[in-house]
Amino acid sequence: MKLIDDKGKLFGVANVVDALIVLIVVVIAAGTVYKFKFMDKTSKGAAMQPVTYTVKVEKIRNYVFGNVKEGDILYDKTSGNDIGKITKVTSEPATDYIPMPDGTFKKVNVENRINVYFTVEAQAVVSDSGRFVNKTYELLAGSQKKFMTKYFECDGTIYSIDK
Amino acid sequence: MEKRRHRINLFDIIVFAVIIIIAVSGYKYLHREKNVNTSKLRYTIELTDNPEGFSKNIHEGDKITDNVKNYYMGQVVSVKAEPCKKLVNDTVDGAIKESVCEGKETDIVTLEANVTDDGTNFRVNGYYTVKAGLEVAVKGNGYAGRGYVLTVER
Repeated sequence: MKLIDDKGKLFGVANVVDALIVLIVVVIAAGTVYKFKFMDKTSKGAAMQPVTYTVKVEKIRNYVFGNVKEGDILYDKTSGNDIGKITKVTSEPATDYIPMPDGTFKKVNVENRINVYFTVEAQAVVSDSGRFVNKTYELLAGSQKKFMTKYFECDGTIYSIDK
Repeated sequence: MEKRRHRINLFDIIVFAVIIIIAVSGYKYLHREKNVNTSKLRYTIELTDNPEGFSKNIHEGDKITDNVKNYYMGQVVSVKAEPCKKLVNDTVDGAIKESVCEGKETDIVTLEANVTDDGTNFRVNGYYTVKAGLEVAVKGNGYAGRGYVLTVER
């Protein structure tokens, strides 16, 4: 028997295009079932637990204290997803390195700039492959991200993740 | 010649079903209910690197629009000129200092606008998103400037 006969039917049973469409539907359905039933981090049965992490925003002006308050919800700017609640806002004088005439780098204070730390509490799936806030947002210390609240947006770094 | 009649087969039904499911899901997604409140919001922007005296161009009541997408941003409530300062490396004393740029000013402009509040964003007239830290390019009646949103009043 020919694979595709003179009428364009696969094994003489179904039209090739119809068979491809059915195949695509089956693959999408199987992918959906796998994602929500069997994947550790996104399955409905995956247990969420509280995690606390810190976001560092460097060299900004002190206007930030008028714009960010404890209790504000933090969002990932890229996806727009809720990634926790800000529970503490602290700051320190900002520093940076400048090249000196003797060929060395010197760590110095930056006038009128501060580094701000947001402590954030969230619910996450904790597994061998990492911590995923609300099952999707992977917490990686050192990763640079865009963050926002309802009032404020900034570039920052996930500074630390508490166990 | 006999005209061939088209008979609907199982695959045609599957294709129709998939199209209908996608169409219904798309419609539901695009028309999902969102709680949107409307209120009046005051926020402050700074326009930097302007020549001295630039603030005289900006008047209370001026309507300001975004110079990139042409979205309405609000009406000027007040304007204040401050010295324009930039960070410079002081390699003699070993410091990074704010230094005044002579002949230039920074204009602090307070705007007021009607905004929608969807819980995550304030949008002027439902379009222009207001957040402190956002870069802005604005235009008013006969002037334009660039800078940042400084504060959003709570």
